[in-house]
Amino acid sequence: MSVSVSIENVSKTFGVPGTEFVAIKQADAQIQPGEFVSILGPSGCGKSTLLDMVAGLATPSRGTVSIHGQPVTGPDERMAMVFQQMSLLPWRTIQANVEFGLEVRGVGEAQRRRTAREMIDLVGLNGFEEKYPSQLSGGMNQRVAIARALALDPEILLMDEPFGALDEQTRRIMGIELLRIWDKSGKTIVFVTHSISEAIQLSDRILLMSSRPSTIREIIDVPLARPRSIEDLSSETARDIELRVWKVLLEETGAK
Amino acid sequence: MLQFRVSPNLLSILLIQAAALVAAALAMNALGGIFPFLPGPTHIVEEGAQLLIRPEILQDFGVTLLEASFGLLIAAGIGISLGLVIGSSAALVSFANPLILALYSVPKIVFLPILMLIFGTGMGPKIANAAVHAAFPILLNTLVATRDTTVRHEKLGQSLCMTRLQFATKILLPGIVPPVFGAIRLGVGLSFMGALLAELFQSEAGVGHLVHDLYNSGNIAGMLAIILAVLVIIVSLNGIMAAVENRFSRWREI
Repeated sequence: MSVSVSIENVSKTFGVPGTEFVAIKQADAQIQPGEFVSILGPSGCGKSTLLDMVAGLATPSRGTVSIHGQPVTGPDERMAMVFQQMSLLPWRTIQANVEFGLEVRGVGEAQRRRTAREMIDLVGLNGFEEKYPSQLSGGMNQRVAIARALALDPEILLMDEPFGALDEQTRRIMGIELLRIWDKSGKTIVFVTHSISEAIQLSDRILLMSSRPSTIREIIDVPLARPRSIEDLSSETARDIELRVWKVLLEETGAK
Repeated sequence: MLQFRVSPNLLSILLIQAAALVAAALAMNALGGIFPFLPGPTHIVEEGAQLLIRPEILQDFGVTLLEASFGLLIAAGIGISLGLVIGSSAALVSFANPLILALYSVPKIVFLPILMLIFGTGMGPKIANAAVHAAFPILLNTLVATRDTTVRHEKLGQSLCMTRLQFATKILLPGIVPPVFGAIRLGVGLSFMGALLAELFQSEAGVGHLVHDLYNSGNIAGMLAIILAVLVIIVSLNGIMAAVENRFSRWREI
């Protein structure tokens, strides 16, 4: 199978010449179709910037991001994004929020309703269609955000710290849910996080970034069985990965 | 249909408000002992009952209401459109913000002489003064809400390849409704204030004119009755606006 997302020789510089600063110095990675890949790194290392470049929301200063060999020049229909908290439209019901992307793309009402219902069912929010985001918990709101993205039936799901604002327990449960949805839908997922345990819980591979000016320092395989049990996540393999990631992160941030 | 729910909480609030009114009336009675020129509550009510049935007095209220309404309408038109334009651009916001804040902190009454020079006498300068008073909170709230909504949902709009028109109609406009509506509600009281101030300064009609006349003729009880009536009108309008607001933004409840 061809490579799904290819990040080649990518760098990103912000600002005007003279006062510019290099956010990402050099990034290279290949993501396979159906793969779950996390982008992990010290805070401020440009994880979200890298994701934005994959999404076509930012343009690399050098290098290219391509999807199935075609360079990304802007947002396109093969990708959908799930953002951090508060990205739902609070004046719309859950149903209308999930329909939003389809509505923007001009999908007919009947089709829109049907697809949204399916997605609401998939994320386990049956019965909440007519509620408003303010009536749901943070975790439930992020399920809605996932349903909104999945309703567009993208090939690649780009997630920018979607569970960052949730408490540890909810976050773990949302991770399990996300893996269930991923397993059913067969999407490629690129997932930005600053949580090591979350990256290990979810990913096939972890792109570990260095601090700014960043590079992808290591690409770490997570060879744990799927579905991952709570025992798998505290197995020796998992602990070894965690230790390895911590060592790199501490070294990168200068804290020994 | 508007629906009013009376919860036990609301009831206790109403009781406390009623008690406060009684206490205020008693306090006025007591003050009347110290300042003999201050009329007691019964006197005010009697005088009010006589004044408020006279057609020429009701006409004065009509004039002020008209001035305030037109002023508010103009303020909303200018405030919302200017706020949308400025708030849509980060550069414009940083350029305009200090100017707006500077003007905001100036007592608006200082502009009245200029307004009178421009609009002469009659209702013109009163409407303009009402508009000047009400425009600032509407402008500021629209501006801030526009900026917030744009920044919060910018990436969503881009990732869905939304056109500017789509972003404006599906995200920006619905997003700014609650704060803008809140500012218009503030504007009700402010536009009345603007109209009344202008009338007190120079007028041939309106509540400000009436208050001025009553004061000059030494009818303090009548003057206070009229002022109370103005308060009742503003509070009622505010209540109506709040009910409409709740009706249109049920998603904010709970």
